[in-house]
Amino acid sequence: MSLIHTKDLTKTFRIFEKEPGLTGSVKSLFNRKFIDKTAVANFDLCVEQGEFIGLIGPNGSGKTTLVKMLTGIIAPSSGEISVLGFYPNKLETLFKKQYAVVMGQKSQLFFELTPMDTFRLFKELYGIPEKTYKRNVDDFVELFGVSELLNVQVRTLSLGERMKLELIAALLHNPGLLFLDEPTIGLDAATQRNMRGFLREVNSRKSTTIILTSHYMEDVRTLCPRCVVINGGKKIYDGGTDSLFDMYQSRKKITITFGRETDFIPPEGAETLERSPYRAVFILPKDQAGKIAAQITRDYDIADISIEEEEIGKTVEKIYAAKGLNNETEAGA
Amino acid sequence: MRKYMEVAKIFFKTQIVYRFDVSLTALSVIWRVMFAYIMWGAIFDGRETVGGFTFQAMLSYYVISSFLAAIDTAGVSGEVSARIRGGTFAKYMVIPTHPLKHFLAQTFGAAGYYAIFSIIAAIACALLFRVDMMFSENPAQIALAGVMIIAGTTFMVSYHFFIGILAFKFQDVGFFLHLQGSVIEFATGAAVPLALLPVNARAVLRFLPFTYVTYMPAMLITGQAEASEGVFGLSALCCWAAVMAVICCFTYNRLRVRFDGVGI
Repeated sequence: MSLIHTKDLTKTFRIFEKEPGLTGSVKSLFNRKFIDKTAVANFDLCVEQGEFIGLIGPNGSGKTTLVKMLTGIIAPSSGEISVLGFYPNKLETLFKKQYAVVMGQKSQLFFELTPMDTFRLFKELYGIPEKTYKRNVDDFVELFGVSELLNVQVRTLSLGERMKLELIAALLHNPGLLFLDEPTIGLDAATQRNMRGFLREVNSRKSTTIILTSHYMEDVRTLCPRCVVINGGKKIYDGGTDSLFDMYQSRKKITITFGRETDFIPPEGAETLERSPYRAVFILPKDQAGKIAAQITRDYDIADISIEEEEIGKTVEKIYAAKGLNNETEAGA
Repeated sequence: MRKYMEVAKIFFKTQIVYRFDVSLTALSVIWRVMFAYIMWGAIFDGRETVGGFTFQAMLSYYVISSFLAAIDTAGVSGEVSARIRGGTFAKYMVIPTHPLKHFLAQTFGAAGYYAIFSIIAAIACALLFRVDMMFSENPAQIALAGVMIIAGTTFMVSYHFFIGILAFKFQDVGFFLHLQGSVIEFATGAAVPLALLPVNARAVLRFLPFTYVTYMPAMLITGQAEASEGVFGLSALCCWAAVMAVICCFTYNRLRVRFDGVGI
């Protein structure tokens, strides 16, 4: 049986709409207008034990609403939903003991106290046996390298340090399912990289199923073999992350620094980003990149040349702009 | 039970983090007793009793009632409603606790802090300033008052939790907060002295819980009320606390499905 199963899952919010200005405010007292906004529509999803899934989509696409339904925070308007065999919005204690949720912008740690104080609280809340608690604290503290932060006030920690400790608090009870909402938000590049390493380790070592929501495509690309793209409340892609990028990262960027002044003109069909007698930057279809680069190296005096994937941001824009991707749900998931 | 004990402990710990704040709290409690000593000293001015209270009884009543008044149960409704409106109430929905019990535990944790300071203040005033306090010599009365304080706090937290969770339905509970403030003012005699009310009205108020939350425990501890009155009060209070807890659980389960968690 799947760990997560949803069918035709839909959530519609009733939103109060008001005309601007004082007149609008007064009018709304007597004649209130509501609009129905469907945040998630007919969403089907199946997740198996041990998977690491990226849930991506632009702002307001319905990702957070979906996660809120999966964690039981909000009730669906219609459709089927089963998480770990439970109906999440029943909020059964047994259910809540089997998953954890970490939100980058919300904290479970007590800011005035030390991380160890919160860990102690979580030990009792989740009924973690003393032996397991000690072993998990030791393991995670070593893995995250935070032994010196355990007895200092949480409010004095940096964002990156706090996120590591949030993750430890969430993992203490060995959850089978972990929801991560923007865990690397606001972190510097090095800390993001570290965090990705830890998450990969947790997923492989403990076989924890992880659902990751992130705007940082690098997170999804490096961590999640499978990703689900959601836009306008609808699933527009569910399948391999690499396949998705292969599909949309169809161009490569070539940067050339010439050894002497040239009158180089980028090949036909290339999009020129920069051109001067000593330097040229252009984008061209992926399948032509190798051939063109080899030809330029032969014909010109090259000081340096690099071939890179097209900027990830541009690829993401293309993915989000697409309304009907080839859905691999049936084949892939 | 252990998990709620830990919640109470962690909220107790958060109260004693800052030394400056703790020092000022200690000083303010002592200052309150000294202020009462000076004020009531002037009022008594050589008289043996005022309104049936001796000077020592009045001071003791003041210290105990100010401790009970310091237990912040009213903050629960504000916090719950603000968290529902802001979406952070989700925090209590994803951890394996019941929100009502969680708020009860955190209130008891914070109350423990004030209880300790009230006791220290009473001892300090007795030792340093020779201010004699008067306490009941009957241990049963003290025990009864202790149970009554627990039941009273439980009732008040449930009552305020109930008002807070109305935000699931009404979003803004400002009106309910105002209304409940007026009800409590009236029922405790803060708005109109209870003695001025008709006998029948006073008889009805006897069955309401509010006078048993602060007034009666303080009277029992200082030996100003009979144990039999306490037993009646405790029975009424326990009934109210149980009814309120049931209402809270029922309302919470009905209304929480309306929670939109704020944001899509």
